[in-house]
Amino acid sequence: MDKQGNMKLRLARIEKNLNQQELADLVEVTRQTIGLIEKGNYNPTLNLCIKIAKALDRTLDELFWEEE
Amino acid sequence: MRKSPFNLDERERDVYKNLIVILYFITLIALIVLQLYRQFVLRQSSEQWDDIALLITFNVLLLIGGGLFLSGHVNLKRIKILYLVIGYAAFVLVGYLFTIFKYKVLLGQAITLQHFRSYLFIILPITAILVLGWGLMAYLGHQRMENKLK
Repeated sequence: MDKQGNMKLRLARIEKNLNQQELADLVEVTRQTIGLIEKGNYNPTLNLCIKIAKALDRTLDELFWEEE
Repeated sequence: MRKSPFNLDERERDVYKNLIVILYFITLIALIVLQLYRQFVLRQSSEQWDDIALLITFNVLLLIGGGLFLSGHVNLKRIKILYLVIGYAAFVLVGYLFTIFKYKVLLGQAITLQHFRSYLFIILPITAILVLGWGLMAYLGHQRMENKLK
């Protein structure tokens, strides 16, 4: 993950009108975990990625695929 | 929503797992140092440190055996018999050298040919039991993994 972190996840969450705590509650993790994923400081498991993608109505590619 | 603070998420579980691994190895090394200190510096009798030695032995045996069984990554059929024999011989050699070092250097005892032979008769079967036990765990672990993948 680059230094900017996962901006796609952050934008998708904001577009869905969710704050970090609300997304965290939806996917049953802590707010800190969501924050660290967005900052690029934690690599979530595939299970959590799928949960987040479903909660935000996005695909895994849209949220987590890194383009050059 | 998390129901309780004890219901950890995956990142928190990772943190605790990493911490437990580090603390486990620190504890194991501390126990080894403690046992060697009691045995060779304080020269205590075996009754005073054999519980620690037993704990270390079971820990290491179960760590390796459990790892071989649960990971199931070692396929014994793909390992050449020659390598197994070399591994066994290396194990015996290390055990032998350690025993000689222990009695000759640390305890300052003179070693006769009779000692050499008696050490060998102890080290050979113990090493064989260890290697066979770990081999069995590796075999069962590999079979278990293959059955899961079927």
